[in-house]
Amino acid sequence: MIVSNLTLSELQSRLLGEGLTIASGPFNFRLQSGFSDIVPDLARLYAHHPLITDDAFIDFHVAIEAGRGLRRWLGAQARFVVDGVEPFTPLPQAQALPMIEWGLNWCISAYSQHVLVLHAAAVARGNRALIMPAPPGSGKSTLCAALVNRGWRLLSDELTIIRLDTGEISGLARPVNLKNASINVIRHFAPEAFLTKPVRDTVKGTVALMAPSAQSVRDVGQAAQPYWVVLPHYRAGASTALVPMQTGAAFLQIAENAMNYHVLGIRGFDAVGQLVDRCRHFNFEYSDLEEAIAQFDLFAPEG
Amino acid sequence: MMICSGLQYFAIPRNLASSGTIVWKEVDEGWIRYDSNSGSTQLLTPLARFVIDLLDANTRMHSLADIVDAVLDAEPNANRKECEIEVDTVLKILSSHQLIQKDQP
Repeated sequence: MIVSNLTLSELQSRLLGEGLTIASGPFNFRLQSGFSDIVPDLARLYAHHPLITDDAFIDFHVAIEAGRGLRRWLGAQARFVVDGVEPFTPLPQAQALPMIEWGLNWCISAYSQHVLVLHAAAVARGNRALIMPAPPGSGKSTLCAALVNRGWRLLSDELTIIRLDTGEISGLARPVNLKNASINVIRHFAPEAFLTKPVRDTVKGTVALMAPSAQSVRDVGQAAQPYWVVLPHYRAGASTALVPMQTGAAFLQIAENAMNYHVLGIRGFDAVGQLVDRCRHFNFEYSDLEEAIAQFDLFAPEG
Repeated sequence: MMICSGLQYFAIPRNLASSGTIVWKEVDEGWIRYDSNSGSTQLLTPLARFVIDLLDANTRMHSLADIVDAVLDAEPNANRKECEIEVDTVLKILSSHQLIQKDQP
């Protein structure tokens, strides 16, 4: 059973009651919320995700709750609560939906020490994965959203999960977080994609979430082999340029973007080292999405 | 650039060195060094690794000339003057990152 098998009222009822229990790749989470206005968008964003059975292990028990006291009504707020802990300050209620995504990312980063967690987008062709570690503002999510609307499979737009035992990537196939100008860029680039209404004035600027494709969610259990590491950099007016990177520089970039590298210690060092060995590495500058995708299609023609 | 020929260099004494494990990985540019105690990760040139290994191999102090001699033993075709400049630069970088120590004789 998948989320879209539920009617909106059934979905809302679950959110209000025992919770909506969803599998996202290797993680299961239970979501509870009394905010009815997030229900339609949540239904679209997670339409293809499987609902898990009652006896399945839940990794994260998440609730989006109303603000306390007067904040329930005056300048209404939303609070992110995981396993009874509230790790963030409350946000305006209008940000409840992106808050779920940010919160889940935080849960994975904070609690998952059995895998290497990279701050990176990842997409795949066949079983070959392209990893894009990059700081905010580099055009990583825009490029990721564009690729998944042109036949690449979404693994994750924000956190790339590398198994320590096999070095394979476990996909999450959760919504893609688009910010500011990239929202309209993707609306025009992929009019068929579902994007939520933009939420303004967040700490990241204006934010909209893009639903993952049904195929990406269906195939999320298929592990992908890391094959390319590309550091994207969007620069207005730039020509598309893919420049090979040496492995030492690639190692440092990956380690810098590995959120639990220091926690894992030597296991983290080994995991990054193995990732470096099995991938080809590039710096990538672009401004035109169609050209960028053509470039990636060139080195992954077999997908 | 001024070459500091009067200084002596030596490995960080064991009792002051990290109690963690040092691991290395060879990469295109040289070596990645990871110290599990401090959590620091550094990209070092092959010459920097050579100098660290040389100083680690024994406890005595080495002058710039000693180290240059050792490099030239390993790479007899290298130019001594260029080698001095390269080694001096590496010694300054390694000391500034506290990967080796230096002292006045």
